[in-house]
Amino acid sequence: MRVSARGLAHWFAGTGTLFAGLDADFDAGDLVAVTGPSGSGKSTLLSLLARWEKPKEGSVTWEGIRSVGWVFQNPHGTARRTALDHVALPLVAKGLSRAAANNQAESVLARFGLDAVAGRRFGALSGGEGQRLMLARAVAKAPSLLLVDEPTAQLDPAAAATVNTAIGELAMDRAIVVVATHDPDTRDACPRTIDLRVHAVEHAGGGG
Amino acid sequence: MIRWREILREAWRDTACGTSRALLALGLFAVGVGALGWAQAAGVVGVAKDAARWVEVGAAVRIIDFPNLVDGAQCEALTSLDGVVAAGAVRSGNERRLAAMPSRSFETFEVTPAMAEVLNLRTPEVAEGLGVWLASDLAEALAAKPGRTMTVRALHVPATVAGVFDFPADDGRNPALAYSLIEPVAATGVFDACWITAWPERLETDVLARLVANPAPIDESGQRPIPQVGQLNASLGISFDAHGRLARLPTSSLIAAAGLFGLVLGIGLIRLRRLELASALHAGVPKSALGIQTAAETLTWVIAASVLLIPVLWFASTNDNPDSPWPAMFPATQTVAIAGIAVLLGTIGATLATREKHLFRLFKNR
Ligand SMILES: Nc1ncnc2c1ncn2[C@@H]1O[C@H](COP(=O)(O)OP(=O)(O)OP(=O)(O)O)[C@@H](O)[C@H]1O
Ligand SMILES: [Mg+2]
Repeated sequence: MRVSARGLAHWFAGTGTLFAGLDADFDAGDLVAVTGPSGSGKSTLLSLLARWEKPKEGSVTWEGIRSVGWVFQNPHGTARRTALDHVALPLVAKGLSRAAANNQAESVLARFGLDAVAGRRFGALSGGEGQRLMLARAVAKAPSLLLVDEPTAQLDPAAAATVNTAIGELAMDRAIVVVATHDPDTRDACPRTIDLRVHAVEHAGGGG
Repeated sequence: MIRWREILREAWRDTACGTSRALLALGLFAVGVGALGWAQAAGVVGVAKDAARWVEVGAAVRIIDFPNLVDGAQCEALTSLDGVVAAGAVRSGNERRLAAMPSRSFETFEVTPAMAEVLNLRTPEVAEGLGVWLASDLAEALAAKPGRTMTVRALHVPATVAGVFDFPADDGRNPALAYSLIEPVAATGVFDACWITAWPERLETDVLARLVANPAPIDESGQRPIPQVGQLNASLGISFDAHGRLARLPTSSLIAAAGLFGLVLGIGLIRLRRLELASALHAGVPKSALGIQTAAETLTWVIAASVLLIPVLWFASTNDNPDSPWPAMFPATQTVAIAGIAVLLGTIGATLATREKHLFRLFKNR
């Protein structure tokens, strides 16, 4: 299982070149932070790795990647359904019995410190709980590649800390995890960092 | 494999907790489609009411005016034709005075017995020579009631008020009979006119009706006059084309509007939930399961709304409708059914069009 980026460069109409000449390999169990100032192309790099966007130059190749999970800066779900439902329903829809799905969902929630709020409606969760629920749901799907975009951007330091702890433990799932962030604590939770400032092209005028 | 029971259970839970906005949807559907269905029923009822009014004011009564040349028996025989409800002959008689109102002289019309049906006589006692008929307004003025006797001067015999008929002089009709004494006589001999209640309207009625007239002598210009056909009341026009009126109702436009409304509603409600649905897709819920779920959710409130609309549309179809409710109820329910199907198609279409990628775009473009 591997994602390889070779000679990656990207820009949009109206932006300069965001980054260029980016080479990187990601293997099972890798937990990599992508850092850089706002507008430097962190989210864009994630979408290139997910192959949702085609790079202007260079290539992204996948080996053995079956599924991709995303976690965004805001938790998104169904306001009136419980945290447990959010994790269990995809499992039920895939064919697990309700009891088996609930069991599995409960153990994933427990891992992210959410056992106490399993029965709470999504709309009533705090920002940190919502974000950890998104991580739990993504992990329950067991994706090969998990892309996490600014998971702590909307959180206060205490909530961010619980999320960063959860991120630090993602490596044990043996997936490839790439986290875009400008939170130094999130970056420090990841053993490896790609700093887009290193790959920025000097004359580039990245907007905000 | 997808578990049907679990999906349907999910649909029910979504409905119960309000995620599918079932109540809002039900309200919008009931009001929007209800209005369109009501318009359908009202259109048909409107034609039925106009038709009833047409008959009521005497616009359906055709009059063959051909003094001294109308055969009374032949005129009455017209009732055997399709589209002829009643037919009777009329001729003018002598002026009379009434003992009750000696200062005024009344015109008299002699009519064949079948005129009782043309005039819709109340309490018709048409035994010939035994009484007079009066328009109800005149009867009231004279304080005459059916069955009472009053003395008709010049006849010097008491005459019974044998019947009263409604003949309002102010609804645009020819008012001659409103202030006259109507005396039934035997349908033999010649009359001045033949009155025909022709309903529903048929083109051939007027042609056949002319046959009740005897040929006229050649006049000074060397022509043989032919009988003219007029109307008792021409104020509403010369013809009532019920089929044409029904065909010109905006039935199919309203059905198309209902379909469009349903489609927009179905798509719109799913679009409002796009993030949630894209999120479920991303979490691994198969799109087919999601489609079944949203369709089941939609079906729940569409059925509820339709059940609510049935009595409403039934009221629209029966209230103030002189005819059977079914011709009004049919397009009304058809409109609801089409809208319901359209909502379902819109729901399924919009759900299937939801993509995981929408999630990414929504977050990237914020
Ligand atoms: N589809 C697009 N079309 C045009 N410009 C785009 C598009 N997507 C992103 N950009 C621009 O590209 C630049 C990089 O965007 P990106 O979202 O990758 O930055 P980022 O590093 O994730 O920033 P932030 O830290 O604020 O999330 C920005 O200037 C952005 O406006
Ligand atoms: Mg970003």
